Amino acid sequence: MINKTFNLLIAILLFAALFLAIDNSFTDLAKKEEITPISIGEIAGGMNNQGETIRHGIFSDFIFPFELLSLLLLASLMGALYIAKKEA
Amino acid sequence: MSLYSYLLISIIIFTIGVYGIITQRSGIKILMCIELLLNSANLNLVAFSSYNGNATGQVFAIFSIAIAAAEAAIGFAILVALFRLKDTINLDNINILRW
Repeated sequence: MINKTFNLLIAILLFAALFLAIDNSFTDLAKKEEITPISIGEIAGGMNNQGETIRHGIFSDFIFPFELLSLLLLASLMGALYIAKKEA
Repeated sequence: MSLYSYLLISIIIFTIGVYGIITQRSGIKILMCIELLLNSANLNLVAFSSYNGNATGQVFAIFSIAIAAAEAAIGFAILVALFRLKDTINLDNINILRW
């Protein structure tokens, strides 16, 4: 079972590296501690008409990646059907 | 909750995903672990979006979820094709790409 402990060691080392990186950068760079809680209606852009909402993000700022994403989903649908179809 | 706890949960999920990928040998389990990796990255995006008061991170999280759905569909299609070819999805028995 040397292999299983080796895998666990890799996972623990990865966790330690990520934790140390986040801990260092957080103590250096953090200006405010708390995340400002935003309601889901506010972040979805309910009634306000200025920017910084998901609605303005998807449908005005990132409209080209949004349309490109539809092409990606269509291509992956057709590709998945072609790969997984029964061989005639 | 502070930003630190969101990042801590995110790296815990990421480590669980990496550990699952390097230990499990079933194809479906590996696809589930890849989803764990992608979702930890999405959690980072949403946490930094709320931290900065900017909704661009939420939009990118939505795009990333859609790309993850496409990736899972292709992965399961490949597994179905491999199961027709080899009658197993245990990835230790599938070494047809080995040189």
